[in-house]
Amino acid sequence: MGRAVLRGHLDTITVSGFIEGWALNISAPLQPLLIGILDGDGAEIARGRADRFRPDLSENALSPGWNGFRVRASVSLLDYRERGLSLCECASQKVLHQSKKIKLLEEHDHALTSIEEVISVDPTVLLDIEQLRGCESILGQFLHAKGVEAFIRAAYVYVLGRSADREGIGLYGKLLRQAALTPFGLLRTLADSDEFRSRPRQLIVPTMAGFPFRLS
Amino acid sequence: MTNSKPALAIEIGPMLEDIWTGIPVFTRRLVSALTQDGRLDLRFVHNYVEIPVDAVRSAMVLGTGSFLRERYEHLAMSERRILDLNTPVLYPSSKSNLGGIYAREASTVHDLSTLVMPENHVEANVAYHMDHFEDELESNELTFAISQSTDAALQTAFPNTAGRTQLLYQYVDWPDEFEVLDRNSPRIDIGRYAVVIGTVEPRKNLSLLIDALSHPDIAASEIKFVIIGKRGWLVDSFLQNIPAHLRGRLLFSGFVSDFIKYRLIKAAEFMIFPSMYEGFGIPALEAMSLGKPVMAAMTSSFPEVVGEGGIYFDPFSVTEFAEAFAEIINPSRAAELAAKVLKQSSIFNPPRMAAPVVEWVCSG
Amino acid sequence: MRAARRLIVSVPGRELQKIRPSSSIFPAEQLLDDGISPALRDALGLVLHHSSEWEQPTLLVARPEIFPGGETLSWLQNRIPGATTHVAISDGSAVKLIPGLKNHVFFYSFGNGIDENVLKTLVRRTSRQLGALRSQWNSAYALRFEGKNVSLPTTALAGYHNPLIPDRPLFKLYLDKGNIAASMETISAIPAIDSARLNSYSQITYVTLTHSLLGAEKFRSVLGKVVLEHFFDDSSALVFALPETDGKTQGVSPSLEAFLTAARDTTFPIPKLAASNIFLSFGELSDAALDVLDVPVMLWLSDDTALWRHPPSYYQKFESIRVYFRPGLMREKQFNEMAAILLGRKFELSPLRFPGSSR
Repeated sequence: MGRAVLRGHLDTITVSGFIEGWALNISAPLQPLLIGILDGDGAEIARGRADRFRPDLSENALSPGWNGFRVRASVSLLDYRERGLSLCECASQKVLHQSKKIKLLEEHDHALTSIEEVISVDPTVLLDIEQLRGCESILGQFLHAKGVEAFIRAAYVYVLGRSADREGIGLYGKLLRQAALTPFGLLRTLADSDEFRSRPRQLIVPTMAGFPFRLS
Repeated sequence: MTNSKPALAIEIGPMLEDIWTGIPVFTRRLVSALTQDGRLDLRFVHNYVEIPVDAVRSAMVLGTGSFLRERYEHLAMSERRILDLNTPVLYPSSKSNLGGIYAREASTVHDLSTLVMPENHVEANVAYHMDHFEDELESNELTFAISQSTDAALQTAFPNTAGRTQLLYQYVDWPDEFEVLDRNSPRIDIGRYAVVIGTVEPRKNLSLLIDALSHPDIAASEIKFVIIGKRGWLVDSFLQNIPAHLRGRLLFSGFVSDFIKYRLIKAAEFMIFPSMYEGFGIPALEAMSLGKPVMAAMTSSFPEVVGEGGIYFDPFSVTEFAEAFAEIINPSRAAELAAKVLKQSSIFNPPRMAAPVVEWVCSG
Repeated sequence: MRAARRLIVSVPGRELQKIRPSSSIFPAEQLLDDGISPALRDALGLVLHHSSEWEQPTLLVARPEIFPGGETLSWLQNRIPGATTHVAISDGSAVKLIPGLKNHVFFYSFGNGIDENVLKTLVRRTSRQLGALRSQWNSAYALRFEGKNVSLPTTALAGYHNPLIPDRPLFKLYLDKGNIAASMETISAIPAIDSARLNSYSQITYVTLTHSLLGAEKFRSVLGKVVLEHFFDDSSALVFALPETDGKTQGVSPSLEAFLTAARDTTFPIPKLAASNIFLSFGELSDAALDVLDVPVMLWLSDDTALWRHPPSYYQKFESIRVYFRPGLMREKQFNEMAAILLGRKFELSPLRFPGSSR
């Protein structure tokens, strides 16, 4: 991992009391940053991890899509719209973005009123394998560093929860080496398989420690 | 520079599981505690073969044994080494062999349910655990018990272990990020509820809650019961016994991630743990670590784990269950308990887990 | 002044799964009204009959194992004041101990005879625990298997009433050694007779079997010999009371199958025809059936027959009593002393050995 190259942006505040934006270390985009939101006096009014999936971010070559944040403020935000806020990376104390005029979203507090709803907003597991599309280059780095067979074995364990069989290693190894299949393509293929559909599993998000394709 | 720390090898067989619950998590916590302690030169072994330290460390980060198992199965011949017989070995569970191979061995007893409640296990499981158990105890220099309750049961059933047992208490270690993730997640508002640890397995005693639902005091309460864990196909037969107007009080989460379990416990008012018999009862500690008092059956390890952070009831008695329920939902009593639970949960911590192991290794 | 003493009883967990006690501790007699197995009801009834010596009512602890020590044990002890003694009524799969009490075990016959293999397994796994017991009630097991020895004295509790046994028809024995299934069908097809017809014989040998006795290789030669002898002497009758069902399996076929298999495996040839004087009863003969007999009846028992299921007065009906005894399974002196109390009379102990072996 190289020197940290930090970027971030304050996007919106919401009527319900959340501050949204994104932040990442370009050198290690899957290592979520712990960020703080400071008021004009430098007091911290919110803190959280920049590890949320944002489809718009994944279209950006710099981010695999997992660098958004949505943090709950400890104060009413309506006063801060004009007073300005700062986005700060906690470890380095570096200010990533200051904004005097932040867009206000008329989004009201939506509590989760059923167990199903609580489970549906689990930030630690994928909603859909497509959320990993933006991680293609990171998956490729893993494959390059560890080798094709190691990548296939990791993919099987991650998606299907079992060891790769010889046939799979043979077939997918050939396709990967020929670039007929991308690393993300393999994950999607396994997630689309009858085996996975018959026994779906919760797949951990790439910003959690259990994601096996992080090199550091 | 030679390493002057005494060596200890931990048998990491339990960590080869894909999904870590129960004993694999206990093993992970043990390794973590000993690593933090730092006084031992930790090594890892499986079936007499040394496992590379980096493979185990990596597994602990990933939180699954899938990759560790892969690495173990594909160890190059040049990497395979038999552990030196003079290295003390600690089994975080049973030995699954007669033992007496290494010069110094210790194993860990979690509970004696296969001995004292064989009707709750298939015979193959009973045989697996018990057929060589006495021999295993004989070959141990020390036997660790995960609770005083397990230790007492061990000494009653196997009196010759007296003086050769030691407590090995585990602890709760929620990932650091859970607190901030929870704070920034949408609020949970499903009404007042208690989380319940229970399955349809008879030992878990969920049937007591189901019977208690019809008790006037509980039926009249607004409190719901969120049952955490896989639902299981037998649940429907249980639900048939509940009057239809009360069925909505029971909410089943199904299998959930650790983070959702954390959220559900944190948003609950208290935990109910009606189990007949537990070796330790880690869910109770999980609840207390999040500031929640526990309504627990007066059995096995609960009093030593829950301490003054809970209310107890006879595991067969609907009446006592209802009395405990009435007490725990009383606001002043709930506040009293809440003041005690964090302190009670903090007495279970990594140094406390590491200490008896280090003491054993250094005593040799 | 000595504190009033109390007896505590426990029963196998498997039995409790059929009922749902409303408390961990309750008067033991309440269990008699619940859906427990007949064998357990008999055993518990016997214990309660003999509990009049205790100053306080006998209590049942549903799950002693959940109170292993510390605060849970204190909680239990507070709810069983005066308790000094505990008897674990056991089916052999587990033995429960309550710390601080004098613990005993009562291996009750679960389908007439504890499975020897179950006991061997129990000793192999828990010999130290068994060694902590004070006595075994109404059994004299050696508990000595595979090098592990557990010496356990016997406490004998004599039966106090005859169990309710229905009148049963008698079926004629037929055995085709090559086809057990066909043999069973043939037996069912031949009309059964009323037990009163036994009076037409000069004497009756009445053999009450247990599963484990049928499974004992050494008993097969006894079985084959007595069957063959009766084929050649139809003046006397031979009646086998097959083991009652063990509660795990449905119907009486397993007992019949076990009997026919044992008979098949004897070294004695058995004529392939329906015996006129050899009968099978699916369970013991009723009191009424025995009372109408006015010919001598020789009773043969197994060493693991539940001798306590009948009072000593029952055994006076018989001309003679012979008990087949397995020296490896039972302790002879202990068994003799126990049987003398339970039978209330003289009897012959017949050690089971391979034919031709010396004592």
